[in-house]
Amino acid sequence: MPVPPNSKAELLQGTLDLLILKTVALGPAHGYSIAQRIQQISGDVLQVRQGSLYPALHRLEKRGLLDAEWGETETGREAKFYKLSRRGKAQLERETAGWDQMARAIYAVLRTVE
Amino acid sequence: MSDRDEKLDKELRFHLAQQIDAYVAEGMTREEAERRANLEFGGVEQVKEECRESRSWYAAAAVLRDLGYGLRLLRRNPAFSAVAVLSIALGIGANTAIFSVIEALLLRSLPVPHPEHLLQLQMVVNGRSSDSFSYPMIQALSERKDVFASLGGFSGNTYSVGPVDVPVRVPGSLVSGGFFAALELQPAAGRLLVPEDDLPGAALVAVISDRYWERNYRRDPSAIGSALLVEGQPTTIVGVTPAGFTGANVGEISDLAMTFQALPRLEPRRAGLLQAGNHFNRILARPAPGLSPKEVGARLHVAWPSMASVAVSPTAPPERRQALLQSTLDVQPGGTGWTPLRSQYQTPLYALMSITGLVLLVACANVANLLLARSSARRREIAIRLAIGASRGRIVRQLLIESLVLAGLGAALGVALARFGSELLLRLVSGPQAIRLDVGLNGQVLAFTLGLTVLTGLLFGLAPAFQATAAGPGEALKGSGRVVAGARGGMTSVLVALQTALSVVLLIAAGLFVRTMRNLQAIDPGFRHEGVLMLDLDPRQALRATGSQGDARVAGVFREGLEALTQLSGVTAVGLSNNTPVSGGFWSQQVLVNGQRVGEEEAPFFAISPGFFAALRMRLAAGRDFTLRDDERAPAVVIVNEEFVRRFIPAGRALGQRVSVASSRYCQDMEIVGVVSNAAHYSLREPLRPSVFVPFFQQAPDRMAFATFEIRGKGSLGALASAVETAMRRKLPGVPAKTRSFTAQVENSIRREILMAQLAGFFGVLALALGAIGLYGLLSYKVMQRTSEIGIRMALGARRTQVVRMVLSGGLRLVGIGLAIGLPAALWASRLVAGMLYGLSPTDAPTIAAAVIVLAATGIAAGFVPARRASRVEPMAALRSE
Repeated sequence: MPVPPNSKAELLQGTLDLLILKTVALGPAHGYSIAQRIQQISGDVLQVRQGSLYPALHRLEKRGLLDAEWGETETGREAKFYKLSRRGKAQLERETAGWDQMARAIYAVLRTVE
Repeated sequence: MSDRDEKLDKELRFHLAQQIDAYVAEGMTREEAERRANLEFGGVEQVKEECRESRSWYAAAAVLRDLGYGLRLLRRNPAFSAVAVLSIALGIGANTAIFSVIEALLLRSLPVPHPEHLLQLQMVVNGRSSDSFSYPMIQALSERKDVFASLGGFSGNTYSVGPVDVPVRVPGSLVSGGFFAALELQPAAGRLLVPEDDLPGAALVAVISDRYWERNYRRDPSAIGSALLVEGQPTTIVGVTPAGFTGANVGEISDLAMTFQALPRLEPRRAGLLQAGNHFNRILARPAPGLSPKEVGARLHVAWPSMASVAVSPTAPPERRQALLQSTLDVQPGGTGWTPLRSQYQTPLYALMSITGLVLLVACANVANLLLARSSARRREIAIRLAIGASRGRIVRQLLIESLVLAGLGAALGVALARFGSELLLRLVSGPQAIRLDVGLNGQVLAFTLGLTVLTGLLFGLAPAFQATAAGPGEALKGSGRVVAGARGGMTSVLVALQTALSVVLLIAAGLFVRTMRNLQAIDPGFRHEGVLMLDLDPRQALRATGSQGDARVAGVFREGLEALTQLSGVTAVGLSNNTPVSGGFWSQQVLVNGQRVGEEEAPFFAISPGFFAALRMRLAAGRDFTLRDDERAPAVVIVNEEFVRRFIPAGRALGQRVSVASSRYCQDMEIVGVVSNAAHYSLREPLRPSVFVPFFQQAPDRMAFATFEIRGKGSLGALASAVETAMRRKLPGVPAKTRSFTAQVENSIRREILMAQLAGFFGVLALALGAIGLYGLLSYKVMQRTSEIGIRMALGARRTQVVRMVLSGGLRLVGIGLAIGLPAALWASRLVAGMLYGLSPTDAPTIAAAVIVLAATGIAAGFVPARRASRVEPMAALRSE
């Protein structure tokens, strides 16, 4: 998937939030590593732009789905680490279930059309 | 830079550093890695901006910034701002003014605990519903603990307080023993009145209001227990009602409350008021525990028939007795207290509210038009902002905030206007008897106005805002922007047609109300009130002022007054009567002719002196007028009107027949000595009724309580008034001598209709003016836009008259569309006010025709200036400018 153009950001916003929550669920991470992880795990299909990533992180933090604290990376740089809050965990489970259902539904539709 | 911004900056710099490291690790040079990373990251500032947006305080700051921007823009276009703010101010001001009167008169709860539980009782006799009850009914009903937890009756009453020679009139109330318990009021000091105070022979005690305590005792606690002279009787003040409570009669102030049983000792003359048959009290009650208002009503229906006899006076004629025995009681919500104005003004006030609501809509359409015009001027600014990356939502927000700023400014000015408006409206509604009602701003009114303001701002701002951003940056930047301009014309046309539709509704409403007023003013009341002054006189007050007492002197006071006024130069006729026509008050009796009952209807009675008919220019059709010798020693005589003769003495001579009042010891066996022309009695709108006139000086002295002189004179009314007042002050010093005009009293009787006509007329004209401005603006714009087209047409040979016709017909087409929508709407709406009209139907053809003509004429007038401008287009100049 190419980098989503700005006009479709709204449509994909929920998706990006879900991906961030999932990534952070694997362990606390700073913004850069979250972007890297998403890119790696998706096999370079999904690239997260900073312009979308940081507003999303701040939004999720404000909604209480992410907790954040400043720490030091292995290279000795100060960085802001995000981790999943309890509410974030619940939200992730809900959204994952919803996503699964949606994906199955879309897949089913596409297959019958084929 | 704030701490949060610093942190954000650090976070983003960390990201860049990580990315640069990664690229260096991939083998790039440091410079290359930095360049690449920066490029990929995009606008750091934009990312920061979006991160900040997610903070709520930041959103607020952005709104504040938009607000400041909006205000600056308004300041830069003073003409536009003034017109827009003024339109909105008039609309919101009118709505706020009317709502504050509605709130005060119809919606405001009494300042008591749980006003929503209070019930007001109603009595239905012969299908007619009334709020009024006699004291025996209050007593009987308050015993019914199975229906009411508590029940109180009350009535307004004015007390003479202080020494007998210099008494002060204090507005107050008579209440039953259960009154304060029913309202669940807690005293501010001392105690409130209880049922034991309302027993015959109980000590004279009074409760004063908090403001009376404040004003007369400076809140001194020793006021409780102190004595006060009420009607010359020592009375003990036992307590103070809580601040803010001034009785259960809305619009009246009660500073002093005493029980009904105090009345016989205060004023033995009025003791009879406590007997059955005198329905002058209102009842408020709370349901017995666990009962809903509906269940209370049901229990009353069952319980009342066996109690109904308490309502019947021993002297009541059989029909009345029967009707009372078959009466029913009802309950309705009573938490807002009682006022006679409510039933009178509820429909007019809601009608006015609807009218001002429509006016506000017209004003909104006007401001929307102005905004549309301005937004085409701002097209380039908006396009640039869209192009450099502002989202559409952002710009819509900016434009909406500008609209809300406009609405807010309009509302602020409107609220200032409403303060005067509501006071004025209240004065118009209350007429001569002043209503004491606070119509200032309070939470409810402010909430209403605030809601209205936001709604207004959104209403006139939304469409222009979306329209302004609809084109997107490309189209608008391309220059001529025809697309946008065309769309603007389209939306403006819709708005102008809508304005026309609303205007036609308002004009027809105005026409109906104005014609109703005219019809009422054109009624011939049968007497001439023009040039007649009235002067009220309370003989006992006059006697008290001269230090003499006793009923024997009462007639003498009136005779002397009559004589003094008759001798006054410039006075042509003087009459005296216990009741004046079309005053709202009345005295009516069942009559017997030659001992036989005639008809069911009661006849209006007037006790009049000789000169009454002359002063009112009523014509004697037969027989003679009264003379001063028709007094208590002379044989009883009577004059009846022609309607009386037509209905009750169809055959034979009226003169010499004998008239008696049924079921009374007064006015018995009176000989008809005259027949007088018909005239209105209680109100202008009533049908003709048989009326009876008895000699004023033949009345028993105890029935000569209060009377009014009617004085007709030559010359100006003002000069007559000062002459009369001077003479009366000399004759009866210490007695207030204030004349009033009879015409004012007659007009007062159609006050409600005059009020509706004036206000509906005002708002109709206002809407018409706003609509004309809208149409003028639209046509001017179109002419400007089509200058080159008009130039081509004229170059091709079109004549100036053809151009004028073209522009005008464009405007009139919109007016036509507006009429097509507005007329059916007006027909529908006018049915709702049918009950407020007189002498015409809601679909009165002349009114509708007049409204259509006025509207069409206004349309032509509004279109004429732009049309003429179009016809003056110089073809060559127009073509060259393109």
